Amino acid sequence: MYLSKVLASAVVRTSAVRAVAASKRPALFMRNTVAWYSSKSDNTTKKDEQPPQSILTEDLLARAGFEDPDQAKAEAQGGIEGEGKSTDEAKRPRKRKRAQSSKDRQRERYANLFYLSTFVGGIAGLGYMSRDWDSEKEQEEMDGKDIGNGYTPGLMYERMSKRLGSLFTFFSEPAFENLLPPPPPEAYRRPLTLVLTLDDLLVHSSWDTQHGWRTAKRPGLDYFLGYLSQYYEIVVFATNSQMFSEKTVGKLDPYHAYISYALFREACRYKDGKLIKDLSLLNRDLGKTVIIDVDEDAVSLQPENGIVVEKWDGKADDYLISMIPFLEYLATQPVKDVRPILKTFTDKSKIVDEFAERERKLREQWNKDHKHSNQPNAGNFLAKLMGMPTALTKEPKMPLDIIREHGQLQYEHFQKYLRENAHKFLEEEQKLKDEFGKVTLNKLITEGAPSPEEIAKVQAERAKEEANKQK
Amino acid sequence: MSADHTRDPCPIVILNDFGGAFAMGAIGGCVWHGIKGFRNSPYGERSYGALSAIKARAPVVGGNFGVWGGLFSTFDCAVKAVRKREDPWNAVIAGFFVGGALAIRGGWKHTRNSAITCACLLGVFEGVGMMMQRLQAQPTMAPQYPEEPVQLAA
Repeated sequence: MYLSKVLASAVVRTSAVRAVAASKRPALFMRNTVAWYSSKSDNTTKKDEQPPQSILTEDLLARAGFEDPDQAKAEAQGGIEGEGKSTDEAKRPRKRKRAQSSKDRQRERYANLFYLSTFVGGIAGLGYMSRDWDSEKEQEEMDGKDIGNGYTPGLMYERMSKRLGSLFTFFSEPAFENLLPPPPPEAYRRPLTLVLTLDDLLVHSSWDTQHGWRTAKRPGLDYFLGYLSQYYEIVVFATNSQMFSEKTVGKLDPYHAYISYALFREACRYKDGKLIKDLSLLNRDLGKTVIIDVDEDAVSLQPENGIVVEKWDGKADDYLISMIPFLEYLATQPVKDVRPILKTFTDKSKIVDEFAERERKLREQWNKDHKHSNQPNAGNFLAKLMGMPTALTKEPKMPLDIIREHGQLQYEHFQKYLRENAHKFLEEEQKLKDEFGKVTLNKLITEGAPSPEEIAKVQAERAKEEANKQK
Repeated sequence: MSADHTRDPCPIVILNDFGGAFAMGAIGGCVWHGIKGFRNSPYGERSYGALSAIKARAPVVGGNFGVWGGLFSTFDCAVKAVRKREDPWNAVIAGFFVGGALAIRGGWKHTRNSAITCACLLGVFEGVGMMMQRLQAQPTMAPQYPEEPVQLAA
């Protein structure tokens, strides 16, 4: 590069070479050539003043054909620029700054104009943003109730920052106002809502060079979801976006029997680099909502609802199973609000051990209270004598165990139902997919993608038909 | 761990990105310089002109794209590692550095301008991408409940 520049400047010096070069130049550079001639005439008048130079090198260079377009351009630019001061240039050709054509100057002017207008526009925009509130409503929406009208610098700045911030909240606020539809009718309602995060609680993804990405289900996950779905409305609230996590959730629950709803990153609030799962948008009673997450930040808005557990690293463990007794207990107690109960556990990551300890104490107490019922007494003896079954006098069961047994029974029942009807569910889903899956480009443009409302409508019609058939 | 399972995790993804960008540039360069070479050749030598233009220029375009992609990916990984966050600002910051790094031989003014331009461009890309994602995200629908509850576990 440097060499070619040097060569260009060397060639500029002699007009004889220039003439040769100009005649050889292709038509494409005609405009430049014209510029040449004007400069040439200028040069010829002053030619005599130039000290004699060795023409050997230049001549040789010209013959060797150093006339690539770049060089020609450089020459032309030199010519235009050097119109009035070619002698000056001839004296110190190497010190010449980078050539600047009129095009370059024009471009620079436009660029400066652009920068200036951007700057002025920005200032004007900020000024406009610092205007008085347009209405009470706007003031309320931007939650600037304590920021009044008036043009003092402080108030103007506050208003501006509120308005500027609201431009970006579009991206950081959850995509929907109500994340979940309203609770189901009474008959279908389950006592509590359980919000679970997906990654590193239910599944774990790992990558290695041999297999690429792999995702593992946590041991006992199916049982966990299946068993707790009878007590809880289970909502999976993933930290990753829908695009990446939707399929995973689908695989966890192929019959849509356990997981009521799935939410994704789009439903999160993004603030100060933290992804926050705002439970107040869930459309559910906060007193009846429990969230289990692996990230402290995710539950930072409602820490009293949250159980933050350690991240699962993908190794075999039985943590999910060990969580069941506590969650089961929580759901089967007639409580109005779970938050005070959760509050009694100081370290929520050790909630399993803590609950086991409490249960053990409870059991001890129970055994102590009901010890004598097992003792042979007069009534007992009489009953035996009369040949009555002894079952009545068996050691009474602790309520927790009764709940457990009942839950287990119901779980098995439901599993049986699922097994018997699995093919039907899958068929139905396939049918729906066939109908709505085939979206042609034409249809997509003319009618738009099928909305969830439409799909739900068709689903409802199907269900009605099915019900009629059974009758 | 990274969210996107269609891409490898950080240090390796640089290689992927470099290769992907190179392929993109090489293929695009074939089309571009094929047409250009064809049009700029005299009649009778058009196919030859197109071919020689492709041979001479397409790998260069591929290389340019590849350098951009690889550098961007490198900066993206570096920014992720430093910030320990995954959000659209990573791409904007990486774009800023790439624009600057590629223009650094043109002087600091050029470097600054192209860094800002590149960051703005990436910002627009990310913004549009996020907007699309949000528009595509669909609200959860309530399942249809039959009028009378069916006793499943009866």
